[in-house]
Amino acid sequence: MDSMLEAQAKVDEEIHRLKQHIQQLLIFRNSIALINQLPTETFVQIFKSCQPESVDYRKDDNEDRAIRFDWWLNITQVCQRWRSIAFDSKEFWTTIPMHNPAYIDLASKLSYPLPIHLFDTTEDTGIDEAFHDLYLSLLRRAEKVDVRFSTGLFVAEALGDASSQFPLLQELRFNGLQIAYLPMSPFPESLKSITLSNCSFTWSWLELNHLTELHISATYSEDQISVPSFVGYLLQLPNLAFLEVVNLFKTASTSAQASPSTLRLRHLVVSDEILLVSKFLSSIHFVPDFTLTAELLYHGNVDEGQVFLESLVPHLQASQHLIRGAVLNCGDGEALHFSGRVPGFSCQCLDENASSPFLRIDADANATIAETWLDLTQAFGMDQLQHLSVKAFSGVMPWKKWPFRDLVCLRELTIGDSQSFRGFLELLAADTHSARGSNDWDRILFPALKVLTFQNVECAEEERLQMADVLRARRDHGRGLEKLIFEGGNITDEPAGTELMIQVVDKLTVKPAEVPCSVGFDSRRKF
Amino acid sequence: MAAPATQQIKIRCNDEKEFTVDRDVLERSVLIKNMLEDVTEQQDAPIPLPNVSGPVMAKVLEYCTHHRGEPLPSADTEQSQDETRKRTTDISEWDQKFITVDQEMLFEIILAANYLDIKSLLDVGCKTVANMIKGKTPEEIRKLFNIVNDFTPEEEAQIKKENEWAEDR
Repeated sequence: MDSMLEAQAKVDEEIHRLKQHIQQLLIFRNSIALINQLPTETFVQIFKSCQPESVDYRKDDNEDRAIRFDWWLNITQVCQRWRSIAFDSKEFWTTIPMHNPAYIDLASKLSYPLPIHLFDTTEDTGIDEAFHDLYLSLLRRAEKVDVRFSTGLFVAEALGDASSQFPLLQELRFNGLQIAYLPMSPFPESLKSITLSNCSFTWSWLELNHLTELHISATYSEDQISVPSFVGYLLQLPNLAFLEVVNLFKTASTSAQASPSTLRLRHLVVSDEILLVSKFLSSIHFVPDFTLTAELLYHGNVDEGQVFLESLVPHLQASQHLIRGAVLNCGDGEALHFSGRVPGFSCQCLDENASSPFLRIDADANATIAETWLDLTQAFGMDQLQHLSVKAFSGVMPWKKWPFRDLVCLRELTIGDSQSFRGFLELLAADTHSARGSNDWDRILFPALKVLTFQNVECAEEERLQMADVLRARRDHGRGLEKLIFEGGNITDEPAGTELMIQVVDKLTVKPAEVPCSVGFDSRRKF
Repeated sequence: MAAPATQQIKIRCNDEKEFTVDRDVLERSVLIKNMLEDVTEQQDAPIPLPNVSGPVMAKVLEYCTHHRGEPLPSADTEQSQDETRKRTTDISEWDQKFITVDQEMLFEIILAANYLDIKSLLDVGCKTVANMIKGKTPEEIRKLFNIVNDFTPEEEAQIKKENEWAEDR
């Protein structure tokens, strides 16, 4: 019996040895794989590129309530080397969703001592004391805290002693939280940005001298938020540079108009009823280099838009060239009015070009450009404009009517559809023809144009050749493009189209057409 | 008026293959740029590049020639590029066509870009590999890159737990 057990033990030992040997062989086999010849820092860069895009904090659907953290699971489960690289990269673990204690514990240790970004979506009260302690300990390392549709129990406790509980906090985002009822204490001076979406709040909650960025979207207060009360509140935020206000005002107030207040805002995004926006804008003075994005909601009353425009134009003209950009829509018919802009545009534009003046012009197919509108463009200081997007300009007439020749600084131009493309091409072809005739290339249209984007442009072969001819002529006379971008459309459908365009620009980019996406404005307010 | 003559530089790869290239094209490589700046006198001897083979260098030069004249990423822009890199794996059409090569060449290009310190090329290479990985299971990734599961039983047990965390969210 003993000898049999002894024999089996020896066999077990041999099996163990062989398993270990196989394990070593597997590791060695992987070490000589092509991809594993890449250095660790290159793997880190690759893994970073695999991360999913950041979630939209204003989305209020269940699907997006928990930030996905399984992107890294695939990476860590490929082989020992990949797992070890991922585990050794502290920055991969700094975004911590608060919904699985085991994961939180692991991520907290692996990311230590880096500052972290907490996502709190905890819903119920059935959380034990250990989790509670872990949560509070993590808050002390948090640079960003994002609380979405949570009961906010832990945050509520922490807010009672915010300076010591959130010593590193820079950015706070609340979505769907009744923060008006939370206890409050002063925040640390490190806090620069607050975002409130679908929340209740009180003004006293936001007394923050050091705040530089404030986003308030579909948020309500028990006290009616009027334009004067909001402006009064803004005056208490001396360092506020960026303000986004979406569906906030409940009343413009019937009190007498106070003299405009000067704020230090550099960038304002406002979306509300036309008259409320008008009242709000006329309540403040703009500072130099100010950027405005106005989204104006109306209920089909054309006159409202006209009233707004007429009240805004003198205001803008009084501060000539102070507005650096705007997204305004020009509707159809005799009178000019506003309608909702394409969601997402201003965000994209502002994110990328916030430092440069820009203007987006939308006009319906049969738009006539009212004199008021031209006044407005003058108020913008067109000679400084660097980015312009044009859509639904039917034929060449609007192109001829607009003061495009003034756009001597225009660097980037986006043509949003086929109709606008035809008018643009005709204008540009005539201009090129004229420059050829006079051999004067110094006064051509858009002399500083470097980036030209066509979105969803469908054109004929002949138009394609004409465009190439114009671009070639401009390039040969020192006005060449740096980038030509096609998003959707058919210009480069055939290889010949691509080849043709490659010959006339330094860099050609072709992308599939972009699908318009919501930026999360209140879905109750449809246009 | 004739354009000013561009200085031509010779380089030698690890397989003795030599290239004579315009200086501004070669200076897309920070490594070579620094080497050229350190040399005060005109040298006829080729610059040795012991970590790059001729065929790979030919591809790298094709990239550098296409992107000549573009601004090199500065230290200031690197951080924001790093942020962008996290968010997007977009690659321009030309770069995409350029990097459509077999895996061996792809990894050789990445290694060369890393050695020669050509950040934009390294970025294109890394994004390409990331695009290959995205949306795939660990098993599919292993198959794609010809690697095998080399985890110990203990690690396998831990991985199983981690998968339960993901399902638990």
